[in-house]
Amino acid sequence: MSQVIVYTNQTGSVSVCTPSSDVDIQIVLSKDCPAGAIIVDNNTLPQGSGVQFFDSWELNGNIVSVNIPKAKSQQNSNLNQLAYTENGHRAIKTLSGLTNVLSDSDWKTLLNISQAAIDNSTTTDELVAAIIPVQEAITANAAI
Amino acid sequence: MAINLSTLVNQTNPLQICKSWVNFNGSTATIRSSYNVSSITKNATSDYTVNYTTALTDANYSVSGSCQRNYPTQTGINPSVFSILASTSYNMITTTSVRIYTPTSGGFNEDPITVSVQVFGN
Repeated sequence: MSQVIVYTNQTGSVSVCTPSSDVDIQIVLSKDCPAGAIIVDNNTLPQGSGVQFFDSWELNGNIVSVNIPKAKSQQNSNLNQLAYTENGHRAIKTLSGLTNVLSDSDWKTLLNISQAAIDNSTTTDELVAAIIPVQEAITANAAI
Repeated sequence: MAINLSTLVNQTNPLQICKSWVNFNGSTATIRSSYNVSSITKNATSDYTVNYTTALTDANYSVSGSCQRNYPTQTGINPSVFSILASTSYNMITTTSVRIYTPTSGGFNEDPITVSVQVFGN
C-alpha cells in the first residue's frame, strides 16, 4: 500500500509529500517535511470528487478531509473562472458576427442557477454537479 | 571505434550535466520518472516543491521545465511554462529544493497532467 506524508502548511491547507519510489519514506519525512508531518496511507486521502478540492483539504489528527464551506468557495472561484473565459469567447464570437448558442440572458441565468446549486451543496459530488451545465454550455458553444 | 562511456563522462564539464530531473503527475504529485529527486510536495493546486535527494552545491542554479495539460478540458491556452515565485517569507529556490507554480495563462490554478523539471548548476 502506498504511503504519503501530510502536514498543515503555512496557509492552513494540507501539503502532501509523495516520495520517490527509490527513497525510504522515513528519510523523506525527516529530510523534506517540517516537524509535525505524519505518514498516512494514500487511500485514506479524499477520493473521487474530493480530489478536485485539494485546496480545501484539512488535517485533523491523522485524518485528511474536505472542508465543505471552503470547497464551496473554491467551486465559486472555478465557476468565475469558467465564466471569465467563456465571456471572452462569447464576445469574440459576437464581434465576428457569429451567434452564441445561448443568448446573453440565458447564459446569465445558467450562471445564476449554478451559483445557487453551489450554495445549496453539502457534498463534493453536489459541488461538481453544480457547474456541469455551465461546462456543457461552454462545450456546445465551442462546437459552433 | 569503441567509446568508453565513463571516460566521456569524466571528461565532461560537470556544469554540463543535468543535476536533477523529474516527470510527475500534477494532480497526484506521483513521480513517473526522476533523477536525484527524493519527493514531490504538492502545496496547493498548481504549487509544488521538488526536493532533491542530494543537495546542490549552491542555489545559483538554473531551473527549466514544461507543463502538459489536457485540451480542451483544461482551460490553459499557453500552458507550457511555470514560475518560481519570489517571496519574503519563503525561499523558493534552495540547495535542497525548488518550489514551482504552474498557473494557466489566465492566472488560474489548474494541475497539469505532466510537470517536467530539469536542473543544471553546481
